[in-house]
Amino acid sequence: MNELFILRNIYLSDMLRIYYQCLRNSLLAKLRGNTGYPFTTCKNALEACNYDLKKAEEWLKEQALKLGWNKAYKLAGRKTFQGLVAVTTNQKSGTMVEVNCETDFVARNSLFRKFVSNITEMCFSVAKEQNHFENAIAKTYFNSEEIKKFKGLDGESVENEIALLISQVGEKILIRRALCLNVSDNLLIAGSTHPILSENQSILMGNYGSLLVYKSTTDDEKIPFIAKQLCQHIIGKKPERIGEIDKDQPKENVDNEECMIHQEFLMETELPVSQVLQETGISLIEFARFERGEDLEEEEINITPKISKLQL
Amino acid sequence: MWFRKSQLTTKLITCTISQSNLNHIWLIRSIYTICKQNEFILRKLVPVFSQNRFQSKETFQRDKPHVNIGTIGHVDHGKTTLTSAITKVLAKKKLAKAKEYEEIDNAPEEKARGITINAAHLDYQTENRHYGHTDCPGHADYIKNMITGTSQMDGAILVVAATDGCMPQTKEHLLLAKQIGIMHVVVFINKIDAADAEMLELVEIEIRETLSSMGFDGTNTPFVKGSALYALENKEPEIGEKSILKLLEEVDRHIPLPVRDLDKPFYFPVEHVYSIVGRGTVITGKVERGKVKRGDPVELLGYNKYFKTTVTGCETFHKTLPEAQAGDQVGILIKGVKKDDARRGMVLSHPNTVKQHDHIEAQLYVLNKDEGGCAVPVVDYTITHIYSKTWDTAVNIRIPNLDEREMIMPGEDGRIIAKLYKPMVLELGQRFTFRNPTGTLGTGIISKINENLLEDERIALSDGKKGLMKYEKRMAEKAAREAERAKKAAAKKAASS
Ligand SMILES: Nc1nc2c(ncn2[C@@H]2O[C@H](COP(=O)(O)OP(=O)(O)OP(=O)(O)O)[C@@H](O)[C@H]2O)c(=O)[nH]1
Ligand SMILES: [Mg+2]
Repeated sequence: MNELFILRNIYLSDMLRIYYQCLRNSLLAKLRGNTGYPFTTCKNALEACNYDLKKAEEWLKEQALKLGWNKAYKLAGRKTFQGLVAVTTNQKSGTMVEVNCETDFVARNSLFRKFVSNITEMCFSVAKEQNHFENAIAKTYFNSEEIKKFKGLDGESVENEIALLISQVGEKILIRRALCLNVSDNLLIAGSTHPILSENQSILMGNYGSLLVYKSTTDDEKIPFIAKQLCQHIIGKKPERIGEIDKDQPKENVDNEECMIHQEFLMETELPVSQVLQETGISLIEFARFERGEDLEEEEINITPKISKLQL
Repeated sequence: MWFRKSQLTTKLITCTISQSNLNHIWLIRSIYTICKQNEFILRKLVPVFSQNRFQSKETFQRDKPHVNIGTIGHVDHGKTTLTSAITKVLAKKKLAKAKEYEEIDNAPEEKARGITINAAHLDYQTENRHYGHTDCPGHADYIKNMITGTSQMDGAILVVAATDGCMPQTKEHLLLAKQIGIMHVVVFINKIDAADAEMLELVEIEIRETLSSMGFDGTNTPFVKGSALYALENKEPEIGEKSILKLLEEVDRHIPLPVRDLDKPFYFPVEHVYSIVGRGTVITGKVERGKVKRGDPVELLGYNKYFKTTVTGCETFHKTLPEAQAGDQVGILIKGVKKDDARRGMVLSHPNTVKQHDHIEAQLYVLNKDEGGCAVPVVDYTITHIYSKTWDTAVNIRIPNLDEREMIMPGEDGRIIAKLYKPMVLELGQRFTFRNPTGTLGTGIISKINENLLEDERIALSDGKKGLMKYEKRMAEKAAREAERAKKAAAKKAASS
């Protein structure tokens, strides 16, 4: 009796396996596997294309764009506080970009990250193409309207790429702002994010980002490392400005200090930043700090692309 | 005059227990007028009144075992709809109070250990059990929940929409559930009103595979298919209401009852120590787990000290207790331990059930300014004070994976390694807070216990960052020398043979 039962079970589980195999090979399963679109969307695609797998895939791509645009209109009013800040630099040029979405789930999604990394690369090439000025910083700030008009890396307009992403993740996506920097010969740029998420080494992503323009009196190979720690300091201690040794008096309570030079260095308690600078021969020129989803001043949001030439 | 009032009092007392709301209103009014007349009667009435209120609010009786569960799953797959549907269906059987979708979705922000969390908590019961249920709106809320432990879950209902299948974020939620220690999941495939049979089969296969790949029991996890929306709207009971009842049946069956504190080994954190002339040392506190009686052997541990002893008596409010149980506030008399040897922060426990540790890994949440935090990030080598149960000690915090994050910002969570200045009794999953002289920094949960520190390192620890760095450098050099020696020995061996 018992054996019969076991036999029946084996038979049943075999039948089930074969049945599942058939299911797995079904067109719907394949299309879903290839594209990752929701089941209902895949089914609609198959029905529209007479169950031709290839056509259905193309149809899906076309639809995705249309769908994304529709959705983009529908979602236009929603709030976006999540997302990522991305930073990339090569000593001489640097860019920092903030891209927003609605939930932290999407911010962790690989599609979203890929998109952010593409946009950052695009902005980086813009940064590098900026004119050089003698002994100066070329600085351009773009708002979301401006960035939309750009052409992406693969020739598609950024606007279309946003729509495509919206159709895939189902949330409003906003490229909020981008900062592009370019400096002349004796200046250097460093940048960092927090946390440091990155798929490839050159583009860093996180919830915070900072860019720092500095000068160094030595070629010590430690300098870029310390510059990076100073970037972490800017993220962690949120200074308002760099400050000048002879003009700005240190505050009584270090925890309320706004001038970077008088703040305690993030990596070392009781060591003021000014001392770190003195010991390493670094002088700070300018910095920028982005915090994901932070409130911006009205003028900062409506800023028109601004190219500033900072004579030193 | 007196006669009339006291008659009224007795009448009120007899009618309060079983009367309906209407009477309730009347009651309030009459009490109000009486209050004005005589304060003495007010004092007598208040306990009766509040007891009555308590009873009319608490419709559930706690004679069934209690289990905590919650809904997890991808955005828009129907977690909140399902939660609302469960209460509606059970309300018909008078086993729950029906909650509207909006009520659950707009749960007010709450503060737990200073942290702001968005989460809706409700309760209902089945024939067999009483449930506490949590529905969180976002990922960050789940993490905060895990760290503060405000609504621990003994199991979870994973909601997946049949129309979408397993989405990338379904996986993330499962991963998180695993981290919180949830081993038992029941899957509800939702929105079957909008899907066809083939889709349903495919979704089930997909989820079972996902579950297995993430270390859950994919083959034996129960699946229920239904439509939360239809249940909510009272449509097609076959896929609506009935599916909800089926789901609850599976939850009843599949998610095991948590072990009661009373059934665990005796555990008693020391709050105060007194010495009573002629009787010995008395330790007071609250029994957290298990029970103890006169004559039981116990251990007293903490601050790197250890005593074996015996209970010579338990008492509460100067009365002798035959046995002290979990939940009791008691004083416990112990034999042969001097008052100065026992100290707040130690633990009295059943022999060989707990140990002292000074090297832990933890998941930390750093409070932001709005939550009363210090608005400074936690960096590598931060020295601060850690508080848990009744003990506290200084710690040095290390941040692992420095190439990924060099600090934990206010409002963020992250993994840390903490080195305690004094070994303390602690366990996996125990919660703690961090405080500076200026205020609370954050809270955390112990996620791993490492080998205790070596004597050298403990000494180095007292020199702060410099001491630790020196120690680490010395250890690295030692390791390098040993590697060199081993290499030489190997070369020698190779040459001779
Ligand atoms: N057709 C159909 N729609 C449903 C069903 N259950 C929920 N929905 C719809 O799905 C949408 C999302 O439902 P919610 O309950 O808010 O989903 P949720 O998982 O709580 O979403 P978040 O809290 O945003 O993560 C709502 O518009 C519901 O009406 C169902 O069984 N069938
Ligand atoms: Mg919800």
